[in-house]
Amino acid sequence: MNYVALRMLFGDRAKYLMLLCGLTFAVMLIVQQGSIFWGLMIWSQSSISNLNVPIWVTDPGIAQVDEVKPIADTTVDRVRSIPGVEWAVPLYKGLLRARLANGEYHQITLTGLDAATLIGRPAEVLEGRFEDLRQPDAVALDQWAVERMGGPTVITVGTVFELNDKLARVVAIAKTQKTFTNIPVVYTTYERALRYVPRERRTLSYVLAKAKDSAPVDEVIQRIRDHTGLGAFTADAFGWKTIGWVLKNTGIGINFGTTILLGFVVGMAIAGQTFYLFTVENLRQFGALKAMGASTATLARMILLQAFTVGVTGYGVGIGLATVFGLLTAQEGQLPFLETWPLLLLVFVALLMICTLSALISIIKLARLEPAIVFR
Amino acid sequence: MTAMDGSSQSQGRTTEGNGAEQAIAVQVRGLVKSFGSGETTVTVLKGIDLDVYFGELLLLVGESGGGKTTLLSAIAGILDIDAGELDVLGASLTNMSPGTRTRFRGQTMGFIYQQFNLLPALTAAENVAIPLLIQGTRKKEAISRGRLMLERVGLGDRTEFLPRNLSGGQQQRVAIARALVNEPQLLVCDEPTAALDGPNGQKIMELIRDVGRAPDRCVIVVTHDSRIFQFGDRMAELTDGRIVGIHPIQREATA
Repeated sequence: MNYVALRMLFGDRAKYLMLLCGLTFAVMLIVQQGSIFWGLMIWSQSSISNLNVPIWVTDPGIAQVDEVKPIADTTVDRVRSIPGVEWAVPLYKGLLRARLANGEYHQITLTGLDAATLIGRPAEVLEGRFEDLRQPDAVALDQWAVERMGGPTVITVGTVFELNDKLARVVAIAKTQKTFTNIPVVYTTYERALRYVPRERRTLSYVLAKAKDSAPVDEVIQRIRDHTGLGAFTADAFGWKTIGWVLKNTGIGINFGTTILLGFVVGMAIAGQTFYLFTVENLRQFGALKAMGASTATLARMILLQAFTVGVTGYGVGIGLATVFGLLTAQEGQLPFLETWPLLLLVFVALLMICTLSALISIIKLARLEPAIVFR
Repeated sequence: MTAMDGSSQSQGRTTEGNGAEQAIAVQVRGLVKSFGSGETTVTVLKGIDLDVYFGELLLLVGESGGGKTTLLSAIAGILDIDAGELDVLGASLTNMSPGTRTRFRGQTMGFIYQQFNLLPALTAAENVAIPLLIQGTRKKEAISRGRLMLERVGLGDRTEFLPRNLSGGQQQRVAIARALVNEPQLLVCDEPTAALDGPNGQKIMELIRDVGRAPDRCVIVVTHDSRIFQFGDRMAELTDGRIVGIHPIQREATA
């Protein structure tokens, strides 16, 4: 009877297309909004992922990576002395204003890396040499800084600008993941960063560390916490902590959640109503099938097959459209759009729920259907 | 109320006036069926007794609302009854579970409806194959047998047509083919000519009589159409939920 069910489904082209459109719309909306949401979340913790170090040592009350709470300068040495730590380096992170030659001011995030190792440097350099950061007054920018500060005609390798009235010369432009706030990132050495910023009692933002290969990371992190009384996290844990803060303290989660829920509800409403109409309009035919010996279970299987067929088709088309949207609008990281397999799996489960609920309404109708309807 | 046609009956066998025995295909005793509840209860069948024999075509006639279709639905096992006994093809429908009754119906009965009830998305051959598909026959074989049955009802050249491309008469022929493809012993027809014009109705009844009536099969037809009375063997008349008369139809009146 599967054959009959599919012929019935495809035979009513108008309703099939309406069902398909409804489910496609729902899938597209959920995937598109979900991908943008996840993209934003990834952006919110890209200050961590861009540095690509395994352990972050922070103030114990740290809430998220961009809310810097400086720690004592001696922390670097204390962390280095903890058994299981292979290396530990200082990191400065703070906001500052850059004054360009054309008189424009731009707020920037100043990132000071350990001069000897440059640990935390971006993996890919687009222009110049990152190692030139060790030269006098040298800074490196991320590509978003170039974009935000006037484009390549204003900012390029060799460009000179001022940071707190002190000279800064661009020696490299690096490729990084965009950050949530999209504030330009200026890299320099740790010591030079301290020269750029106004003097404070505590200047060390974070300590970046790595556990020895032989030492379990979790144990080393616990030791750091115990020995220093500071916070210590893996990059992943710190990233999730930051994402959690963003979700809790901004309306992003609710906004996107509402839209995603809307997609789910609209999809279910369209699919449920159309499917129900499809069943009601074919009630006499279903009644005839029942009269001819088709059991309620057989009819239920037919309805479920129809629902899942149109659902899976809508899933494919919806994801295809969302992906095309992502490719067109999120080129080169301009828009946060991250389509991940857990999201696609989640959407598939949501779609199965929509299909099952839609089909159930029809199945209940059919279960109550007396085949005698065909004689009325 | 019991209304017999003068034959003596016992345990599924009846002896007609000429001494020949006819096996009983359907035996109805004291059948009661009501709809609604409380003050709005309407008793549609008020104690029906009826025997239908193998090899005969029985017409159920009577005024609208008299209970013909309800009786037909009960005999077909697609409507639960309130009281009485209902034996069809040697099995008691009264004692059957709904699931067993559904299977029994699929294996032993064929249905012809007033509105044909063909699936619009399926070709004529596919529509005819449905009862076989329900019984689990493989699609290829079912459709092949559907085509053969369509040839038998004179639609061999329309097997791949969709119902919307067939005339009313042709659609009813498809429905007849569908009803017969499973070789049912009981053919249940509800106003099979109501949606057809006179000549087409006559042709359809000729077909039902020719292919539907056989020694091991019986046909029950609900109808208002007096022009097709000539095709029946007996006529049971229902009025206000009771059978008020069962008459043999004179042979000389048969076409």
